[in-house]
Parts: sequence; C-alpha cells; structure tokens
Amino acid sequence: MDDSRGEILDKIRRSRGWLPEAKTLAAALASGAGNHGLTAVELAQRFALEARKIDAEVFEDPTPEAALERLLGLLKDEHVLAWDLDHVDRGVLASASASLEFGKSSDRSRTSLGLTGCDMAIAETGSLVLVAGPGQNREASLICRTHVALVRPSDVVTDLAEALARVDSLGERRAHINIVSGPSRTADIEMTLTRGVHGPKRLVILVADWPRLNKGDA
Amino acid sequence: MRPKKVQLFPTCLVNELFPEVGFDVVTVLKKLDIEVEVPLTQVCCGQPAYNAGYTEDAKKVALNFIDAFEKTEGPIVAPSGSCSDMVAHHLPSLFADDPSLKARAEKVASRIREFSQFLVDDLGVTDLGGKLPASVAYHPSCHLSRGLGVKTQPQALIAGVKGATLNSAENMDECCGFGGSFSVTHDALSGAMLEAKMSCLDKAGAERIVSCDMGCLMHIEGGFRHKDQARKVQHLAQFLAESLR
Amino acid sequence: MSAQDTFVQRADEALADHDLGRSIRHVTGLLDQRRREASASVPDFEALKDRARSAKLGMLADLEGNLLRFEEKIKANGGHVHWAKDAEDANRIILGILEKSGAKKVVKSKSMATEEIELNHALEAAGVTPVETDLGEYVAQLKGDKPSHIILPIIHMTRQAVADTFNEKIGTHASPDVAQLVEIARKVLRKEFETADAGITGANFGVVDSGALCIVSNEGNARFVTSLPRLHIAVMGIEKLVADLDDLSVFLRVLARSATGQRLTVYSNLIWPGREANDQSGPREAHVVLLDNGRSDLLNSKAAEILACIRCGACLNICPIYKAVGGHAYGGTYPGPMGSILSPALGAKKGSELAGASTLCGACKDACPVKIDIPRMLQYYRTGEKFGKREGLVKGLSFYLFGLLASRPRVFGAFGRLLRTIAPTGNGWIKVGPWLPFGWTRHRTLKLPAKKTFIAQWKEKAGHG
Repeated sequence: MDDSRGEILDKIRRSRGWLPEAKTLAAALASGAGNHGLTAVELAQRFALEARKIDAEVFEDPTPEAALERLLGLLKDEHVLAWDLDHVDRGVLASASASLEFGKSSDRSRTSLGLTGCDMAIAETGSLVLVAGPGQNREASLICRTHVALVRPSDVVTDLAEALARVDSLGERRAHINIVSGPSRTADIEMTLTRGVHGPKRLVILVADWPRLNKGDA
Repeated sequence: MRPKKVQLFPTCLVNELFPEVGFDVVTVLKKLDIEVEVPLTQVCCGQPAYNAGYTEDAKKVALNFIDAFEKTEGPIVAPSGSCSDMVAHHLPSLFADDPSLKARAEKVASRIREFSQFLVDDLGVTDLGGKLPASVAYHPSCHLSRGLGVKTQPQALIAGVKGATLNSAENMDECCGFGGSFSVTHDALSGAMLEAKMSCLDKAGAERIVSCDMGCLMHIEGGFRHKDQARKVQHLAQFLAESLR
Repeated sequence: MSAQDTFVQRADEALADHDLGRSIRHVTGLLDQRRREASASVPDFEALKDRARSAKLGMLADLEGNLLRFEEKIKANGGHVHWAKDAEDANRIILGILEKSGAKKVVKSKSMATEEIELNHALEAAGVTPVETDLGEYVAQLKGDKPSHIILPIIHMTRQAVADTFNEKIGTHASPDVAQLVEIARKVLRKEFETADAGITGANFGVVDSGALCIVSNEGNARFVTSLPRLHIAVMGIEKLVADLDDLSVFLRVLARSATGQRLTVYSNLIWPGREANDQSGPREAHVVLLDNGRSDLLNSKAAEILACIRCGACLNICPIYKAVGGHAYGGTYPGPMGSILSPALGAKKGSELAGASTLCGACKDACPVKIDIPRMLQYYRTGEKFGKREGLVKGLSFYLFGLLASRPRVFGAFGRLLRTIAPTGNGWIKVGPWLPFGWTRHRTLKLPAKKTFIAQWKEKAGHG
C-alpha cells in the first residue's frame, strides 16, 4: 500500500504542466447568490417559497400556539422518532402521538414519523441543514415515510455558501451533515418523477417562532 | 478602418464542387465595393488531416496555405465557418513546437474572416438592399457558432433581406452528422444524425435551408435528394446574391 | 448488453433498435432542456462556471500537495486513508478491510469509480454479496446489465422491462406502474440496508481543508449506505478534490443544475471520516480509498484537463451521438463525450477507437459546467500520440496522399484536371446506391465535382479580362 502511495505521488510530481491556464478572475466571484438586503422575515418567506417549489409542505403559522396545534395534529396516531428538541415539551409530544422515542428507532418497521429541528435553513434553495450528533439522530430524518421539521425564522440563512461558511465554525461537532432539499425522489424509470424511493415521501416544514424550552421538560 | 480589398479563400468544397458559391461571394463583396483577389497557389488549410489526427500531413498542407496567403495583405475571407475556425484556432497550434513557423501561422490566422463575420463585424452591414420573399430555416453549423462564436451574424443578414423570414424549431443547433471523414467511417450513425437534422428542418417548415458551410449543406441536400425530396438548399452567399438580382 | 466488440458494430446494433433510440432521445432532450432552464435562472451562470473551472484547475495544478493535505486532515480526524494505484490494488484493499471487519454483505450507492474497478466482481469472487441500492443500478444489477448513463443508469429500459426484471429475478408480480415499482424497490432495499455489514460509496468531492467527503443523491440511498451499516468505505478518484467548503458550494450549485436542472440535489451529505465518535447514529469505522487507475498518467498528458470533470452527464445529454446510440455503444465505464476521453485512459485496457466516433461538433464543451475542451482532446487522441492509432492502412495512406498533393498546388491542379477527364462532372447529383466502397451513398446522394474549379474559372476570367 505504501508502495502505491509513493508511486502515485511520484507520477503526479513528474507530470509536466499540461493543464490549461485557468481564466484569471478579475475579482473574487462570490460563491453565493447574495442577500439582496432581505430582512429576516423576508428571508424566512423566501425559504418557505423555495421549499414549496421542491415539493415540501410548508406552513407558516402566525403564532407558536397555532403551529403547535398543527404539529400535534400531524403526530396523531403516529409512531414518532424525534430529536431531543427544545421547541416543544416532551410530555405534550408523548401524549399527542401513538408512541414516542428518541435516538435510534427500536423498531424501524413501526416508526412512521420523524420529528426534527434544523441547524439552519437555506432561503435560496429551500433546504434544511441537519447536523448529526448527540440528541440529533440521523434516523429521524431518514427512515420514516414522513419527516416533520421545525424551523425558526432565525434559523434561515441566505444561501448555500453562507450555510457552509457557518458549518466551518461548528468545529469538532462536524461529523455528518445532511443538506435536505425536498423529499426523496427518483426519475430512474422513464424519467417519471416519483417521491419517496428510499428517504421520506413527505417532508413537512413548520416555520414559527418556536419557544426555547429547557430540553427534556416534563 | 473599413477594408477596401480582401483575399478570397474559397475552400476546397467550393473550389472543387460548388464554384458558383465562390462567385456569389464575389458578387456580394463587389456590391459593397470590396475588391477581391484570389491567391492562385492556395489549395487547402489542412483541416481534413488535422481533424483525423494526421498532424504531419496536415502541417504540409497548412504550410502551403501560409505560403500562399502571407505574400498578400488584408482580410482573408472564407465562405466556411469550419475552415475559418481551422485557420483561426488550429493553424497556430499545429506549429506550436516551432516558434518561427508559429509566428507565421499566427499572422495569417489573425487575418481570417468568415464571410458573414466579415460583412457584419468588419463592414457593419446587415442590410445589403436585397429583396427576396422567402421563408428560411438557418442551420447554424457547429464550427461557425461554437468554434468561431459567430452566433448571430448570418441571421442578421438573412433578416436584412426584404421579404425574408426566419423560421426555427427545437434543436436547430444540433450537428447534422457530417463531420468530414466521420460521415464515411461511421456512415450509419452519421445517417441517423442526418435524419434527426432533416426532421428538425422539416419541423421549422421553411421553404429554403441556408447555412454558411458547404460541408453541412452538401450533407443535408444529399440526404433530402436521397429520399427524392426537393429542398432549396443554399449557402448564405447564394441567398444574398439571389436577393440582389 | 452487447457482445459486439467495436464501436461501429455496437452503434449499428443500437441504431437498429428504434424504441431505444426514441426513448433515449426523449429523456436526454428533457434533461438538456432542464439544464438550459436552470442555467438561465442564475444571473451569471457563465461566471459561476468560470469560478468552478478555475477552482478545479487550481486543485489539479498542485495535486500532490492537495492530496497530502487531504490525507493528513482525514488522519488527524481519526479516519483511515488508503492509496490504490490500479483496480487490482483497490479491490485488494477493499477486500482486506471487509475481511478484517468480518463483513459478508455490502450495500453500495451509485459509484462510477467502483464500476470502473469492477468491484462487484471482486466482491462476489471473495464470497461477499454486493447490493446496488440506487434504483437504476439495482435494476441493472438484477438484470446483469451495465449502466448506460452516469446519472440515469437504466435510461435504456422501459417500465415494462423493469417490471419483467423484478418479476423474473425477485419473484414479484409487478405491473409496469412506476409508483408500484419504486415501492417494491423501497421495501426490498430497506431490508438490505438494515442487514448489511458495510456500505461502499464513491465520493463526488473531497474537501481538502476539512478532510470531508461530499456525496450527493436524490433517492437518499447514499444516506442509508453511509448511516446504517457499521463500516463505511468510500472509493474516490484522486482528482475529486476541492479546496474548501466555499468552493464546494459553487460545485454543488453547478453540479445539480447541469445534471438534472435542480438547484441542489435532494440530499447533499457531508461526512468527516474519523469523527464517528461524535455521532452514534452513523458507522463506527470509515475508510477512504484514493484511486489512481490511470489518472496520474492522464495528468501527465495533453488530456489532463479531463480530470476537472465532475460527472454531471450534461455532455451526454447534449451529444447528438449519445442521443442516437445511447451509452452501451461506447463499451466502457464512462459513456458519451467525457467517456471517450476517460474510458480509454482509466484501467488496464488502454486506448480505443472512441475518439473517432465524433464530428467534433463542440456541443459538449458548450454544456460542460467546467468548460472542458473535449473536442480538442478527441483530436489529440486521434493523433495516436497517447494510445497509438487504431485505423487501417487505407485511411493513413489516403491522408498521406492528401498531404503530398494538397501541399503542391501545381501537382494538385494537374491531378484534379486528370481526374476530371475520367470521372463524371457537372452541377448534378448522382444516386449511386450502396455499391461504392464507402457508406456515404447508403444515406445520401453524391454531388458531382464541378466541370471546372473555382480557381480555374477565376484564372480564365482574369486571362480574358
């Protein structure tokens, strides 16, 4: 193996400069789409608009109470796998759903709905940024038919470049990050768009001024 | 400064198979008070051999081209996007290893102008005062539009003819499948591409097909004739000359 | 799959299949249309392409330094890095990792690099079961077929063919209903994810300054492959590096737009191999296999630029030849224009006749999000400088004669006049049928040479005038 490493690096080192000159870019071109002076509220509206375009179901309830009511309606009869959230009281979640668990699912075939927050939401593309780690299990956004994500307007950033710049500042927390843009899809058979081939079929996003409770409140 | 005199590079296909196109180029240029000279020792720019990867053979032919034209001055006008692209871009790279030959090639290369490019970009002309009631489908030949970047000039000249209308359809910019020796070595594939091109041109529904490369036009007309379908197929110079008659 | 062994034979076979032709033309047309619309929706997509191109060329210009930094970063994070000089080397390394971990079943997400090294053959030979989990790849694997498009692997199959494959190979009773077929795949593959010992992926990008991998997928299978099994192995070509997350954001934007016309692929996964302790919901162990397999040779050639390719497939969808014959005609791992440059250079079977299968129309270069000059490289391959010439004596002799005559104006003129005394001339066209020694006349009528050349007529006029 070490032989291969040396051999490969040696060949690379010996290669003559055959690459064409890259066009020198007069000014450093911004990687992002730019904010265009949008306010936080406008950014959140843009996020909702773009997420709908890629088939997410987005609700912008005017009050946290209305949003909670909508959420509890969604959880009814569902076997829920959730992140360790500070948006909603655990006891309220437990009483609204058929079953509730955290971390890894104990029975993947039974778990029907995943409930997560998000670390960021991207206005330009309607995407969610989910950082896996303690209290934020990957399975909640992966194995269920329905994924419900709770988003605060303050989570919304302008574009992918800004989101990735913030990812850089997560430091050691970075192990696995998933940027989700709409529900799972395939067009492999005759270019016929079908939702939910492996991941969730439905992605529901509830944008509201969710409160910040102490995690694990009963 | 507006040029007064040009050197004509009719190109092989026009010289050997379609001399009338060369004379129509002269007609149009004369109408614009441009004097035309034809260097008599020119043969070919070497493109067929270059494209096929026969670099040494291409060099021999290209060197004769340089010899023939470097004795002259002023723009070199060619009724072909493909040959112009070869001279403009590939002639210098053929001689990349020899600085003195490369300098000679670059000098000649800097003078080449494709016919429509010369009229529109150098003379600033789009309206020659011609009249011809005709609906036209314009085929943008690949080396003209993508190689030389001449994407609007021919259409501007066609639109400049009184009574002429431009018709288009989807995928008009797709290759006709000619590709020089490709049409011989991969004849069935080339034929399938030609079929796609002909059906696209028919969708445009125009009564004539105009382009700036005789290679494509010979291929397209040959395809229609093979099916015993009559189509009026013309080089841009023929169309413009007809509009002036 | 075709048993024919030249491009022309395989292409002719594909051309005879009119259903195949229609469906490929239809699907590539849709994809190309979406790419055009998505490009137009960005205010300055050309500038974004320029930025992507210069970022990629900059990475390749110091590939050695960048690979070393990438390796160091991954090791510092606690991950494992392996170097494979060729397919055999890579397969040996992967089997070694699997053996050590006792892995018997492997789930895979779509990876052209593992197609390239024919990993599945090596796994099966060693008693390990590989399961492809991208829907298209899964169907192709069941059928024993090869993918024919890098983004849409079974572009060549109808829904009926997919249903037949399922019914025959996994005993379902499916009708040709896409939603039903997708549901079957979801159920069957979910079990495979849950019972697999290891997940093997490629990598779309390796981010040098953070030691991260980026893997994109629309279906979500790459998420399962990199989350459920206890072991993750990523096989990555050594050219796949980007400098940092800011550059990555540029590539993700151009990739999704160029591949399918989406703004972003549904799932963009960022994985830091070695940080497994930070996330209990992922694998316990991760390995990165850096694959050369001909890439360093390419870097040291006039075709070095192809290493900037990000495998979006835009050049396939716009290519009039791919549209006419599909991917299998190319015979290699990578089809279409980019494949004509890559396939002959990667792996053991060097060289091929693919470079000749082009009109050099340049549409690929136009569509490419990193503006790779594919026609220039096709011309370079044709010279035979890199892989030798594949053509017969007749073509060589013809161009030798052409070079000899067309560089001597007087001889050329005399030769032309001589030919005109024996061959038919005039303004007409002749329909000669297929008896000529070349195929032109099977599809086109032949134009006769003019009685007198333009230059001869010009001389006469000058003489008289």
